[in-house]
Amino acid sequence: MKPVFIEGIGIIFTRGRGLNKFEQALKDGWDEPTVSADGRKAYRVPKDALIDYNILKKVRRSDRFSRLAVFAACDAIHDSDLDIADLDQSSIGIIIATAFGPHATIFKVLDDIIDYGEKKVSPTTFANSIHNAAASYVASALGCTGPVMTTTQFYFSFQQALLLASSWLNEGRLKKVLVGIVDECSPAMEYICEEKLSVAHNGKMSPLSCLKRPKFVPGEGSAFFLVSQDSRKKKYGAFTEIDITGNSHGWTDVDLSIIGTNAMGGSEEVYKDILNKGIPVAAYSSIYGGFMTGNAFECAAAALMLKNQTQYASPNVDRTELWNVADKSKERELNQIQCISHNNTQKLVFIKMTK
Amino acid sequence: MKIYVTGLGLISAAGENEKETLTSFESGKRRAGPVSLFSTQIQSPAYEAKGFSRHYFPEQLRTLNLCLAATEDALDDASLKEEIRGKRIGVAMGTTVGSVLNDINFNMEFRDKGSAPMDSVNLYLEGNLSSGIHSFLQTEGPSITVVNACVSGANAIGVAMSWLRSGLCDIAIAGGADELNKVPFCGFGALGILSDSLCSPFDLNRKGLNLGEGAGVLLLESEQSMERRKKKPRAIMRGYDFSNDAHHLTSPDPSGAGLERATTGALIDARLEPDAISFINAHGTATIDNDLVEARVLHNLFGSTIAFLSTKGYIGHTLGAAGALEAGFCILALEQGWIPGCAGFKKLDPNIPIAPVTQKTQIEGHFALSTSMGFGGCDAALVIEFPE
Repeated sequence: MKPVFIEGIGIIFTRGRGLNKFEQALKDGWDEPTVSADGRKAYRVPKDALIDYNILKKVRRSDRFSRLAVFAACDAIHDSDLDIADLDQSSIGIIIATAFGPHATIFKVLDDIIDYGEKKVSPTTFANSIHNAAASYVASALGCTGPVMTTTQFYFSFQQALLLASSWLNEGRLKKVLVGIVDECSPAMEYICEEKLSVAHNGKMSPLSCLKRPKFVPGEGSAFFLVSQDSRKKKYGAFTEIDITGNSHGWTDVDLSIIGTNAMGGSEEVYKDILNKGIPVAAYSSIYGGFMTGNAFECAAAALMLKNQTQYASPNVDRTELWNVADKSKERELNQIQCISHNNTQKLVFIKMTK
Repeated sequence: MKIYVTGLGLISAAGENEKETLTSFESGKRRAGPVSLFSTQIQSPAYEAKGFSRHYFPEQLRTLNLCLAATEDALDDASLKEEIRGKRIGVAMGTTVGSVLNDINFNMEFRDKGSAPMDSVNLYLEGNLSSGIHSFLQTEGPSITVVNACVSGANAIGVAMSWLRSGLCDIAIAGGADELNKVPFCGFGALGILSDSLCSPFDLNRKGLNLGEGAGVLLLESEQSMERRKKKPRAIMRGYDFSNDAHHLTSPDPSGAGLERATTGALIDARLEPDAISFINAHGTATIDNDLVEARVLHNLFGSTIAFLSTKGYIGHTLGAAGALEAGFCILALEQGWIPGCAGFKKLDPNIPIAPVTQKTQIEGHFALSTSMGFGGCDAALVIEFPE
């Protein structure tokens, strides 16, 4: 794979909006999740993080799901210092990956059908409930008229989207691609997680414990990367390999492995076999919560570490005997980091990032 | 790099296979009627795949079953069924309904009681199209489900083309599927774009679309893979491009700039001039706005004599399946040397500068264009070649 250089990153998560907030969260480590009205714990994005009238005026009718995406996407462009007006607006593509789409808005459509009848569904709500509404709002907010695509794959949504972005750049179809994820945690999703997963009632996920039923706190958010094959524009290193074969055990020439212990993939025992190789290991999902597309957050963490040449401590580690845990924040030489995720069939997928 | 089509699977109201589909097209028969798959108060004919009964997954996963049935047909057609396990085969599928957790009973119970059975959630988690097919066939390669509204099927084919060109796989299973479902039925009704009678694309008196269901799957191969298997191509995917209006969530940009950009881009990708195109399978939903914008763009690019039609009058609007089914119909037309009449069209709208064909029409030449437009301002175009 030709290197895909990162020109800008935008992120919105439970501690607010902006890469600086994310970096601070990596430094600070674990914090209590938010608690909903019915007492469920989750890492939800605070309301005030979604207020920015300069952006909102461009997407007035959007729902919360779309706003999460629009804010992170706009921030990635801003972070890159790119002025889209200076470019051919059709030369930038957008790919948004999501596991569950705007399900909260879909439930509102169902509410309309139940409460008011089939003929009284709100057209605005229905329009927002379509999976690619968020991508459409991002394109409108940024004025991008290039290819815009929304994809969904549950467990490996982000990895597949990144692979597609790389293909588009390889083909010469586009100069730059804004690729990212968005997922939302609604009350229904919190309930589903509670029913299907082992919720951490103390609010602490159990990354790196390799449990059959890992402890889980749901999360949400959006993260975007502006990428290109132009090394001169590189700000955060590059995505250099993506291995989706499911046959691999990852790379041994990396300085750190970040594992996607989002708990939605079920048993995390699969990591036992591949990580006990002396390579320092970290997991950060207990900072932003578990959700299937959270792997993009792991890549954002890796990008920051490669840029800052600083390793951030892996929070909430309770079984250090299993491997070489990166349990301290410190400056260190980091040339390559791999981000690893798994799904419910214990398949592993790897992304390698290079300084 | 040339990308070849070596297999095809088509399931829609027009037929469950190519032969039935061609019979419907030739006879002009339109198999629409009242909705039978769910109860509804909305009066709008629907194009259901009435005889469809192939179940690989639970019956409730109708979209995935439609998709896998069309996939199996495409694999059979490509003589590939027995030898796919472990091969570098990508799976790109488009859908709308297949990606959505929209069980009304689950929602009602959850909001009333604060709890609900997980059955529909478990089904939903099983129902992702490309993941389902990827694991059912045990292929090794990229896998993606495109959820780009009505352009999803065309985009999925485009994704597969990108993978093959980038060397990420040797073969790709690409297309789209959607079942007729109550929630979009209500949603399209709310938007005021469902017709209460049979749809009439590009017609003066068009009143909106009819929803349909089905699946279209193309088996795409690199030249090396096809030659290794000593297989002859049915078609060549010559060009593809797509674009976004950045204009409105549900209405096309009146200027048609996005569709024009996508179509021009697909022609450039195919290294063809517009006059090389023999006919166009237009998106032609029969909504006021879509047909107006689309016909103007086609007229601007191809002039007033281009042969074109919408096949929505035979299959309805199959949403995520539409672009893939219609790419498949283009292949059938190139092979047969004719296109069917644009079912439902009678009288030209004076605001529309060109008229579709009204009856079975012989075509000459080797190149077809299929256009797709969708919510979110998406536009896509595919150029398909009939090999010498």
